[in-house]
Amino acid sequence: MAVTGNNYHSQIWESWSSGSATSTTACGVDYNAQDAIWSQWTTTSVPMTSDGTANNYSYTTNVDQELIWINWQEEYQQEFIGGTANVTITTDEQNQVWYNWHDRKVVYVGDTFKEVRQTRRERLKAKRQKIRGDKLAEKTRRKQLFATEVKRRETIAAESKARELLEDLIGEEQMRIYKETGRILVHGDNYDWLISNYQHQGGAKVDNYFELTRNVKIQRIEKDKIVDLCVAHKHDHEKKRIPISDQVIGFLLRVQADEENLKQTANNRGSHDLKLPKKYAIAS
Amino acid sequence: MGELLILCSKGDHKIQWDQKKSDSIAIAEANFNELSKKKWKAYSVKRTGSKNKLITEFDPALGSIIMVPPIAGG
Repeated sequence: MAVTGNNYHSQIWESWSSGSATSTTACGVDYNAQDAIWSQWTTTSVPMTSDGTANNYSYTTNVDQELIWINWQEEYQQEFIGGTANVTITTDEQNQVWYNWHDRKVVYVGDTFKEVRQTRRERLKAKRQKIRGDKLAEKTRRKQLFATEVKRRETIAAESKARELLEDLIGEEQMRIYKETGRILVHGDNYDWLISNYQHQGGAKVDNYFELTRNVKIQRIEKDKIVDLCVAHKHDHEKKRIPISDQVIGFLLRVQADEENLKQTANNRGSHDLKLPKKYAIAS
Repeated sequence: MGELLILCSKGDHKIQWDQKKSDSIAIAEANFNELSKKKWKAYSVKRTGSKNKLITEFDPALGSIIMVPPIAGG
């Protein structure tokens, strides 16, 4: 019988693997099973049996056998067809099986079949562990991304809410200026105050939620100079920082209703000449 | 209807009270007192532009109160 189709090869492999007593692994055949299969192929030409039913093929010539082997080895690279696992075996392993089948006199100089299987098991185990590790790392990474995204959205929502309240307090026109410049000018009983959420050294626009500074900058205006102050809100009742526009609200209220306390609490960080854009210059 | 706005990390936490319902007033007052003990400042506010007032005692007749965390000099 000529052996030309791939179906034969897969059938052989399937019979070979599933016909053995230890078919849960890719090379799950012991020598006896291999010999029995080989014997059937080469000597008796009796149709193969794997599960008690006869297969309708047999192989009688060495050419057929070689062809089967070459095709099986080269084309299939020995996917384990008999089981669910998609496991490949190494060339050494294939050769060892082949030598056992083909000529018991051939001395195989590599690892014993048992050792090869052991090595492969360890390799597979390491591979599985790596896959598990990678999956865990990916899961952790996704969790972190999710947490970051949740926090980002919460920050935006909190800031939006704070701005609504701020607009209620200062009115549309002041809010427009605040959005445009990052500053509001508040009149206290004794001084004018600039409350700003700009970074101290330029940078973020007030409309960019993600680049907002952590602290509000407070400046007191005295005649022709601006005094830089250092003062900040402590954390809220949940030990968390309040949104930037809520901090502006806090200082706004302090300036309007508790100016002296603010003046006494804030530390003086130096002063410089008043340099506001002409548009917002304060009339002397 | 009055409201106590507590500035917090989520924007503001709003506690409302109805002057006809003493239990709602009690809840707002309890929060007011608790935060006041922690040195939070309370301001009676009138929306849009008006000057606001620092208060130290809870008054349900006030329409809107904002509570602000304490500050510290840097």
